[in-house]
Order: sequence, then C-alpha cells, then structure tokens
Amino acid sequence: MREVIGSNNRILEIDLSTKKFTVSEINKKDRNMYLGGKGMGLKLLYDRMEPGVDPLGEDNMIAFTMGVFMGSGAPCSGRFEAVTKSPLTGIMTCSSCGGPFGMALKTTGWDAMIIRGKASAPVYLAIDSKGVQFKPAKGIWGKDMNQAEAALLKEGAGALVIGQAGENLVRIANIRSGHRFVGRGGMGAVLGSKNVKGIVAKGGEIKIVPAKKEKFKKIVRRFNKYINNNPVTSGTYRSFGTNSATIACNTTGTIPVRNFTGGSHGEVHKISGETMAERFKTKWDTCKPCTIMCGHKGTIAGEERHIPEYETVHLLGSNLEIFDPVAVSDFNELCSKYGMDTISLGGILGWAMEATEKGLIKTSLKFGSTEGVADMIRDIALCRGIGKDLAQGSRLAAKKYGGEDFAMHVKGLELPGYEPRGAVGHGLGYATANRGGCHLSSYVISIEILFNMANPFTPKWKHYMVKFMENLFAAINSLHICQFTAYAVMFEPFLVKVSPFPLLKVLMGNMAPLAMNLMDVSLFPETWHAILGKHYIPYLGMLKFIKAGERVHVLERYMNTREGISKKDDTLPLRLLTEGRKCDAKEHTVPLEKMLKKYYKSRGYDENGIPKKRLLRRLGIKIQ
Amino acid sequence: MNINKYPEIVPGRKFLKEFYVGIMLWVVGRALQVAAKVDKEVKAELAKLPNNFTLRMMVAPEKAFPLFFYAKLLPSFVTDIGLLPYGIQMFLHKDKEGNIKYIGADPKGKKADLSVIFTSIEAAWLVLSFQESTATAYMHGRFVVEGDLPHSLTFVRALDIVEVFLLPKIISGLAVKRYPKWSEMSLMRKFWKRIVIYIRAFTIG
Amino acid sequence: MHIPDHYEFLNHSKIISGKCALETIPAELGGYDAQKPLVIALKSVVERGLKKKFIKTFSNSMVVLGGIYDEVREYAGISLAQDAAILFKARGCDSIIALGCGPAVDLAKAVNVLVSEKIDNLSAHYEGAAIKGPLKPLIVVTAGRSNGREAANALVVDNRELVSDFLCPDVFIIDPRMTPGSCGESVAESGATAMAQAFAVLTDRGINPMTAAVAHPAMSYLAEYLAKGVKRPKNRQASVALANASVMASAAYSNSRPGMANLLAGELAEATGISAGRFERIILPSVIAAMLKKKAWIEDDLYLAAAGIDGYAATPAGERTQRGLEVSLNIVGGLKKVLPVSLSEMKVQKHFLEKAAKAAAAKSGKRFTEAECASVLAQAWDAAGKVK
Repeated sequence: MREVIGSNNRILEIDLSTKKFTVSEINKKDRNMYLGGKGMGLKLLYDRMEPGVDPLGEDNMIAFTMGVFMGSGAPCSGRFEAVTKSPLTGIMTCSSCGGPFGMALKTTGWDAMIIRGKASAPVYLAIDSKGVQFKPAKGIWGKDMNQAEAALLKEGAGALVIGQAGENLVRIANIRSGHRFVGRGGMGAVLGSKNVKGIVAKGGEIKIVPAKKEKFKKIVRRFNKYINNNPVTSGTYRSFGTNSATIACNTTGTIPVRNFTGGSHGEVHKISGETMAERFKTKWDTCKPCTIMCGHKGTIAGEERHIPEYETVHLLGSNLEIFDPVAVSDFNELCSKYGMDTISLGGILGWAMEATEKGLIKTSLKFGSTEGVADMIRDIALCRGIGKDLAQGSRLAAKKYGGEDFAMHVKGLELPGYEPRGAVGHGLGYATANRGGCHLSSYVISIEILFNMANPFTPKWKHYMVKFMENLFAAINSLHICQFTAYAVMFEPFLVKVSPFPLLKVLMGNMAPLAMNLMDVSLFPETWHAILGKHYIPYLGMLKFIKAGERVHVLERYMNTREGISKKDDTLPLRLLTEGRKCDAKEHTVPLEKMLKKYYKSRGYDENGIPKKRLLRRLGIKIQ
Repeated sequence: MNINKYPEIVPGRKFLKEFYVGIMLWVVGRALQVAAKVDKEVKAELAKLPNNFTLRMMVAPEKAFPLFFYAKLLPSFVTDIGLLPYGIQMFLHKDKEGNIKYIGADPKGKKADLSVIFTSIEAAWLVLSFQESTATAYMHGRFVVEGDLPHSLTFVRALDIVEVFLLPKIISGLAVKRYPKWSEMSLMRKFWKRIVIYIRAFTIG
Repeated sequence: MHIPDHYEFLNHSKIISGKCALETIPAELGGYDAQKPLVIALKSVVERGLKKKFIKTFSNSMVVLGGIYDEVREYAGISLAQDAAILFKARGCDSIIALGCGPAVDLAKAVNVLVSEKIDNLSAHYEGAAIKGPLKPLIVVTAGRSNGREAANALVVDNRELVSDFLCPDVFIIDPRMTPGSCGESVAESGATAMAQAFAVLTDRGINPMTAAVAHPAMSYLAEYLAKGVKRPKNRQASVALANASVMASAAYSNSRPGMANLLAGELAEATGISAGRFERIILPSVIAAMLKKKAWIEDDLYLAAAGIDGYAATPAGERTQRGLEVSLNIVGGLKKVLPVSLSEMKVQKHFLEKAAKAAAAKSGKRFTEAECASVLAQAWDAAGKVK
C-alpha cells in the first residue's frame, strides 16, 4: 500500500453528460485558506458554478470533500462533507456524514470529487485510484437503500446510495453511507436528477501518514484525554446518544411539540435517551473512527435497528405528539429505507397535520395518532397523491395549499428539534444559518441550556455567541472532525477547568467576547498542522484557524446572496416571532430584529445582510 | 387564543369641541330668535316657514354617550345648555302666531319637522368654526337634512344673514355662500343689528 | 368609441375620500344598522402610531370597537382569520373595519365569510361552493402598501383565491391622516402595482367603457402624483391621490383581464417570495418596450389619461398610441431611484424565468405566447427597457 504524507490533494471531476473525468490538484493557497472539508467544497463550487442554476438541472454540481483529518487516525475524524445547491432551499447546502464512504474515497486516493452534468440513463459510479467507471444501474434503480447499498458494497469498501425518494426527486431525499446519512437539503434529489443511483469507492489503496508523527501522537493522546474527561462526550452522549438532551430540553421548554406550539410535554420521558437505552438494550454503533461513540443500536420490535437520534425522535415524535418509541423507530426505518431526511420529514408532517386540522388539505393525519403516518411517508417517498406536493418540502407545499404562517422552516429548510423561544440565541442561529433552519451552524443552545452558561431569554451578546460558534463550527467542519469534539476541546483545557462555574457564567453573560476568546481551541489547528507538517505558532495559529472558519462561513453567505438571499430571508417562522409557547406563562418570543442588527454589524454585513466588499477583501475572497 | 389581548375599545369624548359646538348652537338659536324680531329680511325669510313648525339642529348621535341611561336623573338646567345627556342639539319653534322662539336643547316631548343633523362632532366643528361654508359642508356630507328641503333652504338663507350680522367680514366671508354687497346691506344696518342682536340674545331674547 | 358586444362591470364600493373621511364611519355603519365593528389592522400601521388617531375619530359616537386585531403582517392565513372570527363572535360584533391595505383587507374579507356563513374554515369554498348571501358590512380604511386587490371581488388567503361578488368592500375611506406612506419604497411598490393594473386595463383589447372610465383617472393621478409621492411619501395631497389611484385601478382591473406584466410578476413573486410590486416595476418597461417595437394597437385613452387633454389634442391621431406608451414608460421610470430596475439586480435565479414565462403564457388564455413572455423577461433581466 502506497503511503502518502499529509494529504493527497487530488480532485476528481466527473462530467456525467460526456462520461469523462479530469483530475486536478488542490493548490496550497486554497488548502491554507479553506482547510478542506466544507470550506474546500464551497471554494471548489464557487470557482466552477454560475449562480442561478436550477438545483435539479444539469448545471448544478455536487462536491464530496474529505478533510485533512480523514484517514490520519485523529479521533472522531471519520467524517466527510457534501456540498451542492439545494433543491429544497435553492441556495448552497453543506452536509456532514460519518459513513464509510469518506474513508474509502480518501484511501482510494481522492481528497475531493465533483460531479456535474446528467447521465442519459441511470448509472452508478465505481471509483478507484485511476479514475471512475460509469456502470449502468439497471439492476439497482428502483431498489430501496438497503438492497442498493448491499449490491454496491460488493465492489468497494464504501458506497453512497440514494433511495426511491432520491430517484423520484423528492426534495428532502438524502444519501446514505452505511448507517449514516448526508441528510439535509435534499442532496439525494440532486444525485437522482443526475441519474446517479450510487457511488462506490474501492478504498485501501493508499495510507495517510501524518508528517510529524511524534507530535501527532502526543496531540491525539491529549485529544482523547479531553474527550474522555468531558461529562457530555464521555458521559451522556456515550451512554445514551444525542437523545440524552431530551429531559434537559423538556424542562426548559425547548422541544418541539405539536408543530412548535407546546415547548414541553408530560410524556416525553417515554422517548428520552435514557428510557430507550434501558428498553432496547443499546450497544454502540458509530462512525469510524470515533472516540465519543454517540451512535447506538438496539433490539426494537424483534430486530436490530439503529436507535433514532435526538432530532428524529423529536421531529417524528413529540412534534407530532407521538410518544411511542417503537413507532418513531418504525418511521425512522422507513426513512432510511426510502432515503429521506427525518428532520425535514417531521417538519412537513407537522405542517400537514396542522393544515388538515385547519381544513387546508385533506389527509388522515392527526396530532397524537400514528394512524396514516407510515402510509404518508411512503406516499411522500414515492410521490403518490398529496405526497407529491408534500415531497416538495413544507415551503412549497405551503405556497400551494396555504399555511405559510405555520410552515416551520427557515429559507425552505425545516427546523430541527429545538424550540428557539426557550433559547433566543439559538433562534438567531436558525435565522442566520447559511443553509436554512440548521442547528449545527452555531448550536448556541449548548451554551444557553445544555451547559447553562447564559440566560436563554435575553438577547444580550447572543449575536457574538452565534458569530463565534458559526466561525468555529465552519472551521471544524473544514478539518473535518466531529462537531461534538468541540465541547471537550472548549471546556476541558486548564483555564476553563479550574475557573469556578459561577464566574464563567457571569463572564459569559456579561462579557461574552472575552469569555469566548479565552477558550482555548488550539488543539484543532495543532492537529491540522501536525498532519500537514507545518509549523504551528501558538495562539496566532488558533486565530488563523478561526479566521479560516469565518472565511468559509462568509464565502457561503456570499454565494447565497448571489442567489438572492438577503435580510428578508434571515427570519424565523411567524409563530416563533409572535406567539408564546403553551408551556410558558410569560409568552416569550424571539426578539430577532434586535439581535439581527447587531449580528450584521459584528459580522461586517451591510444592513441588508450582504457581506461588505471590505469584509470580502479582508478574508481574501475574490469578488465575482 | 387569548382574546383579552385585544380589549374592547370605548371611544372617548372631545370635551372642548363639544363645549364649543354646544355654545355655538345656543348662540345661533338665540340669535335667530332675536333677528326674526329685529330684522325685516330675516323675518320675511322665516315667514315662508309654516306656523307651528319645529326645527332641530343636532350633532349625531342623538343619545350622547355615555350618560344616556342616567339622563332622566339629572336636573333640567344641565340639559338646557345642550351639552350632556341628549347629544348636542338646539330646537327652534315657530308658534301659531308666527313668532320664532329658541326652546332649549331638551328633546323631551318635542317633535321636529325639520332636522339638520351633523354627522359627527368633527363635522359640526368644521362648520361652526367656519372652516367650511354651509354649502361646501353640505356637499362634503358634513350634515344631513331630514324633512322638507325647501324649508331647510329657507333656514340656511336666514342663517346666512344672521351670520353676516354676528361676525366680522373676515370670518363670515368663509361661512356664507356670498357675502352681501354694500348695496344689499348698509354698514349702518349691519353694525346696529349686530349690537342689538348680541345684547338681546344674551339678555331678554 | 368602440362599443363592445357584451360587457359586465361590478363595483359596489362607496368611496369617501378627503378631510375628515374617517369621522363618517359611524354614520356609514349606522346606515348598515351596525354599531360594533371588529377592526382588523396591519401591524405595520399600528406600529406607525396610526391606531391612536384611528380610535380618536370615533369620539362622541355610539360606536364601540369590538377589538383591534393587529396581528396581520405580510401574510394572510386561515389561522389569523380563525382567531379574528373567535374575537368577532366573543365580542358580539356586527361589522368589520380593515385598517390598512393588502393582507388586512384579504383577511377581513375571509373573516367576514367565516362569520357570515358560520363556518370554521374556507375549504368548502376553495372546492367550489358559492358564498350564499350578503356578508356583514366591510369598511376599508386605506393605509400602507397596497397589493392591488382591495376593491376586487376576490380574496386571497393562504395563497388561494376565492371569488364572489359579495366580497367587494362596502365603503372605502381614504383619509389624509392615514394614507401617507412609511417610506418611498412602499409608496413606489403600491404605485407600480396600480400602474401595472391601469396599464393592463387601458391596453387590453377587451376594454369596455366602464373599466376605461375608472382606469382613466387612476392613470391621470399616477402620471401627476407618482413621482412626487415617492419623493415625499408623507405628502398628504400626493398620498391621497395615489390611494385613490390604487383603489380605482384595482376596481377597474378586477373587471378586466390581466396583462403580461401582471401575470409574469405574479409568477415571479410566487417563486421568489418577493412582493409583486417590485417585479411589476421591472417588467412593465420591458412589456412597453416590446409593444413599442411591435407597434401594437391600443386605444388612445392611455395617452389621454397619462398626458391630459392638452398633450392629447396637440398630437396627431396616428402618433397617440406610440406617445401613450412612451409617457407610461416615463411614469414607471420615475421609480428608478427607489426600486431595483432589473431582475439581475434583484438576484432572481435564472431558472425561475423559464418556468414563469411558461406559466404566464398558460394563464393568459392564448393572448401571449411563451416566447413573447420569455423575451420580455430576458429584456427585464438586464433592464433593457430603459427610460428615455
């Protein structure tokens, strides 16, 4: 096996229309500025794609990019990024996935892959270190994800497949790799529109070796220590998965109940991570490699299934007022069979239930009842009956049938399972997230609720928290490493560890910039430098790393503004801005306007939310 | 839905305008009564009205808000100046002998043959503060007339002459349709009648 | 003048415009034997402090306001209508006042249907059931940005249209205290909508004497006051003129066929979620430019309305069509400083244009072809229809 030191830097560009491929290199400047992963994917598409193309047309491109960490043996680094223009939102979308395809593609010798054009007949792509073979997908087209993936895995170590939903151009379709998904933004439909059923990478052709082996080993040891010491990453997540946040969120009224009207519910304990772990006797089932181990599987209804994640449980459970974990798992399995994003699907079903209640559409769906839900999921995946309209996403469905005021989406992307009226900073995060209603863009709720470090109802300094976290997460997704490692890296270093908690809380509440800049996240850039063999300057290297994150975030924003995004789109569903939650006597709403103004100012956008030229120049983004 | 968020709104009152309009109606009523006695032209004009005729000038609504339930409990002198319970109004009566008399503001037991009704207090304010002339105001729908239209025209003509008597040219010029020329009304007559009407209106009537 | 073989015209709204128009509401309500209206207000109007002024005008009247439901923002949805209907019933109201234009009027009409027909939602009507009888009295107080549907016999709630002759508002109140706009942009958008509607009426081949008569003053007002109103949105005279133009244009337009600019703007607005007025401003010049190029025949009325009798009389009969189009182009051109002038400036995604052209051509009843629509949009993309 060939050894590659640092990074391979090869890009595979595939044109499906002509069935040809080209090979190019990631240049050094781009590597330094955009790191890899998400940043690199965006940069590649920024250079190649015109604004205004049809997301489901020939001109749209989809990029799969690996980071520098992948294959090096860094903890929790088994993740890759997919970037494209989303058919659901009409703007750029980036999605991270922990499936085996990333490792397979990287060890086949490719750091990035871009697919453009449209195949004349259904195909699947078989990739090895020499290039790509276009093989007819006759036998697998029309098959569900389980069968299709099993067929493709005969030819390589890792595969990406779409299900029937992707083939039918359902705008919430996802792509699967192992038991992990490229979930949000309808990437499955983009592959489906290109007539690509799957991609399989041979894997195991090269081996990545860090340039500074000894230093790298030391860093990994520190990394693992941090992860194993942190109560979230080594405690609750490891034992109960992401769903361990349920009880904390329920007590603070931040779970979606009845299409985001409730906030909390008395029966939520039935679907909490703790209950599921006990009831289904869960075992680990994670991305590879992983140290946190938040993924679980267990025995549900007599068969071994993946335990639903927090978002799935709440969007397909509490949001529909269904508190039966077996039913939620059934829906989850259906989604992984047909290939649909559970978050968006939950949002759409919530909308459909309320629309039925208000007489806008006629379905058998009803809040609190599992009857008809499974059938509707099948109808959506196969585009039958009213499912055809629901498959367009809640934004387009609401445009056709009405009910835009209770379609819970931002920029077309349905909201995840956190109720922002109980955590206003998180609400700002939803509004400003580049790909739409996304919790992973900033995840300020971790500061507001999970770590209880800031008052969740005040808008004070929330703009700064959102900005800082966005930059940090954009950088982390460009390395690319699991976002959950950030908790360990942020809260375990000496300074934070020894500070008394009340002091931290006061600092965070009143002097957030100081508190956040004191957090030492240098472990990330140190690892990156060690793998590539570059010299790391303490502190300055960290600032450069955060700046790279800012660059990635602003680049994505700039690409979106070219597609027509501006302040009018940085908003929340009307319900969150005007109505109080049922569980909240004070009827808090999200004071978005106030926070947004400060956010734009601190970001360097103009009052309309467009990045100023000065900002783009400072970050070295070429203005097109 | 919490309906208490949208409370019922009982609109308030414009006391100053009410007071001004009330006074003005009283002055107009009394002045017409006096003018009919002292001025031939007015007398001739009002003679066209039939005998035993009651005219009412009023600002809608008839029942003044919010005291109308308790109106009967109040002493009659409160209602006399036309301010409170019955809305702002004024009655002018022409008796069997043809004498014009201002008969107060209390509508109890009175049947009006001709009603001039201002649609709102603001409309009455516009007319009685001379921002709009009577003719323009009628065009703008500031008041409606119930009863015989010829009678109302008679009344308006008489009112115009009285306004010329009562007010300086600069103000009454705004209020009347056409200010009379010197040949039609001498200065002597105008000033003399002005003094007489003012004195008698506020004293013996 | 051309006599159509057959025509129909419906508009039963009384328009009260001018000083102290608001004070006539109690008397008008009295005429319908009503004295407890529910007010459905635009949030933006309430936030501008017009609520106080509005309440004050009911002083010394017997009218009690059953409540001011001020939750109406950009979007009129059935949830709001249901809430307002609950309020209406709980307070025992007997009439409705819409304070503000656009969604407030749509919502007021919807609430009116709900409470008059005693139903919970509009699903039966969306499926084709007719509205049975006369509804409760509806008074519209114009304020804020118009969407060109106020005087029409239609409502759009939840993006679905419902048409019935009973839906025409009973009274329009245009009061200089309420009409001044918040900013030049919103005035320009309303103006562009009214302009596109009046233009569509006056250039339609199926024009009839009544629509022409109503659209004519609308166009004259726009020609005279649009530029002034946009420059000084608080100017009372201009704002009253433009509010009148809006109401007249929408009354005429609801009795006429939609023009190309209206159809295309409607499609693009639906695809992008941006208000149709902005697109109308961009597309109208391109439509006019295409008409100029094609030397299309239109009635002289357009020129007479836009330029006045002097200009009309001084122009040879053969040139009036051409001049009419040029003057219209100049009126729209007056908005160029406040609203974007091209679709590329608006950053509309290019793939929407094709779909919009197709949908508009399908809706036009074979009056325009897809190619014509597409060429107009292509011109509008980089503002080819520039003002001379």
